[in-house]
Amino acid sequence: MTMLKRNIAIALAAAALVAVTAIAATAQDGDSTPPGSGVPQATTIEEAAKDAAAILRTERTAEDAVRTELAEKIDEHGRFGVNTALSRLAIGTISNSLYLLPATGHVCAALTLGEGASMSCVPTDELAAGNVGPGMAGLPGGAIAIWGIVPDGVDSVTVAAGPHSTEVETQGNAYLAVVPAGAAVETATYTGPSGRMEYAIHDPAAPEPER
Amino acid sequence: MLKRKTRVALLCALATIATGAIAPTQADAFVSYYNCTLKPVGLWCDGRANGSFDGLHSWDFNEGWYDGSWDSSVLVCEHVWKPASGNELQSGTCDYNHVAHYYGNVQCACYEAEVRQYSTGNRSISGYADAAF
Repeated sequence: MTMLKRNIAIALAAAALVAVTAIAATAQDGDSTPPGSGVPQATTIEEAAKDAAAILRTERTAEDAVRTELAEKIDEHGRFGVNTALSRLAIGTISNSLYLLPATGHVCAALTLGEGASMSCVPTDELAAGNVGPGMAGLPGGAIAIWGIVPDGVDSVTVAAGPHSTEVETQGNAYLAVVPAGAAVETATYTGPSGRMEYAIHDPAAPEPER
Repeated sequence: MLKRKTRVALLCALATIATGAIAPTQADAFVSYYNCTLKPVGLWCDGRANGSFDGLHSWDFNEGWYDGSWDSSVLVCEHVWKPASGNELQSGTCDYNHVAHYYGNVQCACYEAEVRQYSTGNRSISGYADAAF
């Protein structure tokens, strides 16, 4: 191969590498940025959040702390500026703990599941208005946890699940109901500042429908 | 005309840049963004649809969200499962508009991360997963 041909081959190889690099870099970026990414971390509990939920007006105690390893993970992802150092424990059972986690313009809630947790965040004004849908989590053995947060003034939440329907009292601006495996879960309902709210609930482990 | 040493150096530099772009950065762990346009109710969406990474990994965080207006009309669910066995790492979770699941310590690089939606019709949803290992 002459020197000229060798240089052309190298130039083509270099061009191909640059093209691959550009395509790969684009793919790595993806098309989506998770919501609430890059929001500055809350340093205090916002007044609007305190106004919406009495538990956020209470003094924080050692009992309110999220387990260190989990707290680090939540803070590391930092959705909506959530700050686990401001957490309040609303409900604690042998198996699960439900925390309110103040964020920036939002209030997040986390239900512990083994070593981990399920978490969701809502705008503070939506919490104040009582427009917060429930979360669902599959538990060991197939039971389903239906859980969520509510503003002051909501005393109970009704979970419709056929013969396993139940009405649970709220505790610390939160609720947690557990229905057995296989229960036909239907809705979660409560009455708050915006009136009667009804949300459909689903078994997270439900099989895919027929295509 | 380029000298041989210059050509080699140029190729090495380009290869380094290309490798850096393709491989995930260790500082940020391994990440996957994925999204599905107008996904039917109840069907799982994963990186095969459209995303940054399609493959198995030790996903210890999986997150899903509705791409439209968050008016609590769309329930988003997520799960991490092992295609080889069909079993979920843990049971999945759901929440309105947005859901995130921290899975704890995951060692096996053998899981797929997916999201799905429940609403009155087809909806566009997105997901993000990352792995510490």
